[in-house]
Amino acid sequence: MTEPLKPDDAMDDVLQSLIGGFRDEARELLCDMESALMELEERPEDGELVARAFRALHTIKGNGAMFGLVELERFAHDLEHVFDLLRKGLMAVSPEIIDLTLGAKDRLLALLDPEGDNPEEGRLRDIDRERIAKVLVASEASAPAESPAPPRCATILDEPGDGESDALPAALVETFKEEARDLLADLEGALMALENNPNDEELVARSFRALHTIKGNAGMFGFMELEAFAHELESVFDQLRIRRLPVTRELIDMTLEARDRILNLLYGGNDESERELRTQEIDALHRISAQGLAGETPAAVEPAVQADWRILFKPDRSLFAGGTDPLMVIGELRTMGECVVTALLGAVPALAEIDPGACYLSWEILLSTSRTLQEIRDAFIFVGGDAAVEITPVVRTTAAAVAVLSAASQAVGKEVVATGECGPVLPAGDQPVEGRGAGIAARGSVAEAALQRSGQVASTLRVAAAKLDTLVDLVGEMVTVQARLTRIASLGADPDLLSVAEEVERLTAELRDHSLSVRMVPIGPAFGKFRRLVRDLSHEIGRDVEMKTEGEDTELDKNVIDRLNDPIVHLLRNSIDHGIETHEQRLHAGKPARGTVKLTASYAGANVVIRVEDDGAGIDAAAVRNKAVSRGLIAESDQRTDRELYALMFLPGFSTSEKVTTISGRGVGLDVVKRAVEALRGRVHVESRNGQGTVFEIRIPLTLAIIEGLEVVLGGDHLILPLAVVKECVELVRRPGDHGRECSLAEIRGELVPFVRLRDWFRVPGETPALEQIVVTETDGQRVGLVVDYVVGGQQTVIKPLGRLFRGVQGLAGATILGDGTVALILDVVQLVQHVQLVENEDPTAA
Amino acid sequence: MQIDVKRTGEAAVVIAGGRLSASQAGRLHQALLQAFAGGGRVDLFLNEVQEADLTFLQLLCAAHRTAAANGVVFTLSGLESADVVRRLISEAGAERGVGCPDDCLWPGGSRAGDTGAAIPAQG
Repeated sequence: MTEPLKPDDAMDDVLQSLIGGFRDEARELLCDMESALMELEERPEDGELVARAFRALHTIKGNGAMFGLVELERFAHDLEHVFDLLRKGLMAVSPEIIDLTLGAKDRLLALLDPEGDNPEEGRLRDIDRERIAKVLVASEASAPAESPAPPRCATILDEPGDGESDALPAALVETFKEEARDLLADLEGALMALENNPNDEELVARSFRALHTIKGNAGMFGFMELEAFAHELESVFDQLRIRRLPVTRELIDMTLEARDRILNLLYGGNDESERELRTQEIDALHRISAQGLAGETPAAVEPAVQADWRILFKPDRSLFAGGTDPLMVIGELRTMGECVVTALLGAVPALAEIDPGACYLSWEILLSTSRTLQEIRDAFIFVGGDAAVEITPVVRTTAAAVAVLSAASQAVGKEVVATGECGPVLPAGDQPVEGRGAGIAARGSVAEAALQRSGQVASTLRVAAAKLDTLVDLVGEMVTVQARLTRIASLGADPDLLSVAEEVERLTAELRDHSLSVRMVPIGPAFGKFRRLVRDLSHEIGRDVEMKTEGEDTELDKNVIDRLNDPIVHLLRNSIDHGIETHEQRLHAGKPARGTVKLTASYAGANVVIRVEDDGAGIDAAAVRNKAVSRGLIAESDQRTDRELYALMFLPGFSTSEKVTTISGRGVGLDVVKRAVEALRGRVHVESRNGQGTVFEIRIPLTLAIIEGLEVVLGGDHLILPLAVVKECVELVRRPGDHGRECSLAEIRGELVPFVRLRDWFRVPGETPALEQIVVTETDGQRVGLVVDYVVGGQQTVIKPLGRLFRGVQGLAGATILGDGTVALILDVVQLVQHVQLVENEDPTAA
Repeated sequence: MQIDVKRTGEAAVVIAGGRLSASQAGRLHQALLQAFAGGGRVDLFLNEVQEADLTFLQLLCAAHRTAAANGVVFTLSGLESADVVRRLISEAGAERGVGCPDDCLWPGGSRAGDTGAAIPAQG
């Protein structure tokens, strides 16, 4: 068996990169399909959702085949078959099909992972295939006899292609194949769009062009069967183009199938069954084509839709002799719609050569009309064989495009004439182009949309995440070097150097912001995944839960989003398993039977806040207290507030659940959440009201890589505090008895602010300076001062992770390299403050 | 149909009026050939034109082309009062002058005038 392409072989980087791009795209498509399925569950009658899922599967199937991912292609095909039947109304959407497809989506995801396929996955795929088969059998049993299931597309076939191309250099043939693949992808995209916009001429023209080019190139490279097959398709699209045939779903289906045939012809799939399929399709195409040629144009072919036509009218020289006036013809055309007539005078000779009774004129006419082609032809009936008449549909264009073209053509035209390279005796001059634009561009919305679409395509670029990581790392290095430059410049007295250093600082800051923003992605797709999770969990435990989301457009560093997955999964599991009550309990409590879990994201300064909110039973603070007391975490007499009690739930192994389910209750959730969030320099806290619901709030910095920091000095060592939490810096006014205590109070503008002496806390040796400063920070609405020797100033800080030995040290977020090359520790102020409070609570004598 | 050719020094004036249609195209053709034969400037004056068709339009273009080829001046006058000619030009889509040797002979071209403005024809 000859496989078309083997991605695991020593393919070049380009191909690997293409396959990587395909995998990313396929994952996105599956994600979109999943969203469509979730919505389909709510609105099973929504045909657009079915079409969305079908398109996703179809594209994955096609591209999978293109890249030689045979199993992926086959499995996607099986599933696509189901959606094809749904789409055609031969089967109804059912919960079973949704379940089946959601499961199958996971199988496809595994197949997309180079390491994801294993015997267990294979077993699961077989189970899914059986389920698909049952669904199809059931549909066939209920379907009318005259609607046979579409033939299965044979995917990879044994025999090589036509063979005629053997003599050509392999590289050239490969180039042809690559180009054909691209064209087929474009054809497929156009067909998909055409399905929704059957009157879109640009899409028909795009399909035609793709087929035409494939046909031409196939002939050139000796793929004769391919050329012949593409020719049949092209003929049909030619008739679509001139509106002899309507765009129908049948034709689109057939062309999509034909696209697969072409792909197989390209990559060696040319066995008997494939030939048979091709023959069947060619027969069908002939049937369709015959309808158009016979002029059997049903009403749908020529709806009262405006179309633009370009008519070239070149009368015979003897026309006037027969008494025929071309202006009569032109006059009739004018009655059909908007008409721009341009007489072409170039053939008129000088007086000495002219025959005054002969006709030397010809015309180019642009007609916007809802009349049929035949009606337009009829206008020329009286000039009959005495004229050459060419009528072709015009692809509409936009006013803007026309203006640009017109300006360009005018400029070029004038230049050419001015230099004497060419006289202005040209069939198209400045003004006619302008005229055409005016005539045609008036209704250019279709082409405008197409232009916009092409603009969108050009405005995005898929880049490997690793490259962005490298970019950000390099910018980090740049920031460090820049800090060094600034430092050196500030020490010297060279104003030029200072000026350059300032400029570099400004540019580096911009570079930093831009490069970090490149990694920012919307959190929406991640939310989509959780929708599925909520659905599955609620089905599993028999709860009726609706998931709402808000703030999908909120952007966060891609790495952060990836690492937030597990914490959010834990929180959602908790909400559904422990939060949302049963149907009866909810009704009894006067709540809607259906529970709600809400996932929201929003910006809060330099942070993003993610909230997981449910309208369930809330957390029973008394139960938490009892559990904490029974585990010896707090004393019986402890008078903690509910909020403080809730904080205990984040301790390892703490669970108030009476039962352990497959979803949660083992007490391994919230501490994992806390650790994961803190690893992202974030914080999590919970609020709950008994009987009304619970809110978990995760607060995460926008990025992990570079922050604005405040550099301070402590005993000769430099420390960095995240500027986001710093409110102000004041001098510490010593009061008797302050010294030696790790935490005390300072009066700052009439408000008592507790402060921590970092010197004492970190046991920094040496004399305390006479003058110290307090950096006042604010976290969770609580102001805490940190006493340092002195403040150096703000600086961009590239966060470097701490070594393994230091990762457990409380209160440190990482380290950075300063301008002079020394290492400064970055404080995690939130953790530090919490830790100090905890220690003091546990050991009051420490204060 | 009124067709007259008058010569004043180097210049020739062709006066055309009445029915300028296919049946009279030969006469106008001859008159124009005669006017250009003098080698100097040629002025075509439209006087009370009642009818004009495409054969007339072609002759105008041919005269314009001839002037350009010979480097002589050819002007068209009286167009402002010759509605039928203006309508002919418009209906035929000839106001754009596609294929003319230089700017249009009638309004629509950048330099042409219908009031007798001279058009320096270039070879």
